[in-house]
Amino acid sequence: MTRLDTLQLLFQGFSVALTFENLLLCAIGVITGTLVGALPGIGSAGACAILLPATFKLGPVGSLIMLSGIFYGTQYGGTITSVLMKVPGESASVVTMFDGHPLAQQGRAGIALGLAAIGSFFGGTLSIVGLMTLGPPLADMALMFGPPEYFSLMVFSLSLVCAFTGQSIVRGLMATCFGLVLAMVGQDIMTGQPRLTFGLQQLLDGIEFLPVAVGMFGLSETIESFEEDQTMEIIKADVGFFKCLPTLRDLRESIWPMIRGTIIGFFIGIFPGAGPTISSFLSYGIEQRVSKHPEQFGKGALAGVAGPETANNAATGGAMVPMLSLGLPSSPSTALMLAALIMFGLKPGPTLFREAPQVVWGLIGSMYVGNVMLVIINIACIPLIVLFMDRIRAYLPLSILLLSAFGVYSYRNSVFDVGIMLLFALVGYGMRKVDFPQAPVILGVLLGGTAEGSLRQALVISDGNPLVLVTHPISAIFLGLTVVSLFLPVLLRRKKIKPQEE
Amino acid sequence: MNSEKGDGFRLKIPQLVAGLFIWAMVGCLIWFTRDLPYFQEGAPGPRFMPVVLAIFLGILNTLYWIDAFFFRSQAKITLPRPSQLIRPAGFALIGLFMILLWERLGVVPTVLVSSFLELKLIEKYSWTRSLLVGLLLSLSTWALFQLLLGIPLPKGVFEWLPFL
Repeated sequence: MTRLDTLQLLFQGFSVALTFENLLLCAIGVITGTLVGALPGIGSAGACAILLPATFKLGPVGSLIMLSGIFYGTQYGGTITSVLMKVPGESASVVTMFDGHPLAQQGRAGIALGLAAIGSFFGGTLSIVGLMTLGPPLADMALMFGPPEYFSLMVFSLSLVCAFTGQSIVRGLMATCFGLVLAMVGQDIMTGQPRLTFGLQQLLDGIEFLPVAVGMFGLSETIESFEEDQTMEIIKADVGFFKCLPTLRDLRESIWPMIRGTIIGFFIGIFPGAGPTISSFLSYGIEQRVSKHPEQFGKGALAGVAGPETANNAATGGAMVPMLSLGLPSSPSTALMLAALIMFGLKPGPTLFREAPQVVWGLIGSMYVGNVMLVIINIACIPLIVLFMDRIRAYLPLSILLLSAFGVYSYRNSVFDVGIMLLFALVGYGMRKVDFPQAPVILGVLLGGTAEGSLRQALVISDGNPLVLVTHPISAIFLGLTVVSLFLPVLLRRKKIKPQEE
Repeated sequence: MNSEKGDGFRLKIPQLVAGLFIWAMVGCLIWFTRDLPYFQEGAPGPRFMPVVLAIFLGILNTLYWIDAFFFRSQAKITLPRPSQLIRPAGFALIGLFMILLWERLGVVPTVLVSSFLELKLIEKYSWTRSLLVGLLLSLSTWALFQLLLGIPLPKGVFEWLPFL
């Protein structure tokens, strides 16, 4: 694909994204994302899961535009509570709190929020350029993949999720296996025989992804939030439009952290499981190292806000690369977008760029538009967002319960699914308590069926010889990388512990 | 897995329960797929993956228990006090109550009653506020999903009302 082709497709995408209906959906998505990001207790995955059923009527383009708007909108919104309340709305905004809150205490809340919004815009927009550059060639390359390569690629991506989420590889792998077990329930994909259905008619179609995702990400967090009465103290700061505009000196100080944050965020975002949180922490660490005044970090360094905020937004664009070009979700939120594609009858993966260009390029076009909307909203409407958060917080758990129940019910008009949702909310709550990561479960449920299908196809092709997975070079590379991704963190941890013991 | 050595065997209830849950799952995977073929016409059958996963889970669970009981695990286990569990349990019970009444009573009254109970008993709001917010939420969710999104919601006891 030449650069001219890409530009042509991008213009096509803009023509889709700039219709009144899609602009409205994009606005709803980014505003919802900002509010969700600002509200502690519900993350982007939870919000996407809860609102996914409500997007069924919108068609694949509208649904994806809205869901992705929520996804990158949350990265913007999380900053507000981190800076003004020292309560990060999103895990990716935890780092912003380290310097954002001290800045607010010094009376520079507006500058912190303004810089975060500009950095987010910078990172978000440049990462879409990265997505446009990397996505199509990667998809073309993936067209060469057969069942062994696909299976190994899925194993690799699941292993990365295990490596990046949580502290223990063993617990991560157990969570992945749990997700894969859930994907085994229902009629066998090849023979149609019922499997692990316990005689229940409702389980013949399998355990749906949506109730599990809504229960684990939407409701379990809400149930946990009931354990303690959290109070939020908002710093009374002037965060009007002009107070949020940084000076030229502030911008000069922040431009390099933003550039570094974009590069870190985009490439970290591509890896399954890494995502915005890890990229923001990494960016903060690097900024601290390269800074001439590292002692200022934690006391209100502008680079400590600009770098991580840029990185966590750039990661959202990076996360879209494997989702669109390989059909592999790198986070629960992208898993939900992938689920949306499947629900609309589209086949995620390398063929998506060719078979549904209006969906892919419409989404890319809307991401540019959405980032412009977000920077305006996040500079001009902060007082309104703060006021809204103050009012809605009291009714948030109930609203989440109702939206989750209605959303899951409307998917198949099944109360059984609502029951599954509640069951997995409790399972998710239990997992949080014993420190098991939840993201691998969700990805296991989503990828389990395809992974099993690919493995069995590969074994059929090779007359049951499992060596087919290592004799195909690309498959062998992925499996090799899987081993590295699983054992490298263990080795690194051992290396880290040894000097401490000495 | 953590290699930091601890002070011998220590019984940890949460890890024990989590491990038992996994063993139960392993048992289910093997027992409930016993009638399915492992290999069929030279290719892996429907029992293949469940058994592979059961073996993996068994190995991982053993490692998990070894890590939890013989080494100082790095797991951040923050078990709530019983008094802290009252509100989460109440919220889950309200969810269960909603599921049980969803089709029998109909969506609007179910949401009204559940919202009222949540606001009054868990959030401790006044009777009037709980009732008004409950009414508002039940009507607004019905309007959003039934009228705007066109999703047929159960009418329950209001089956006779033609406009629902």
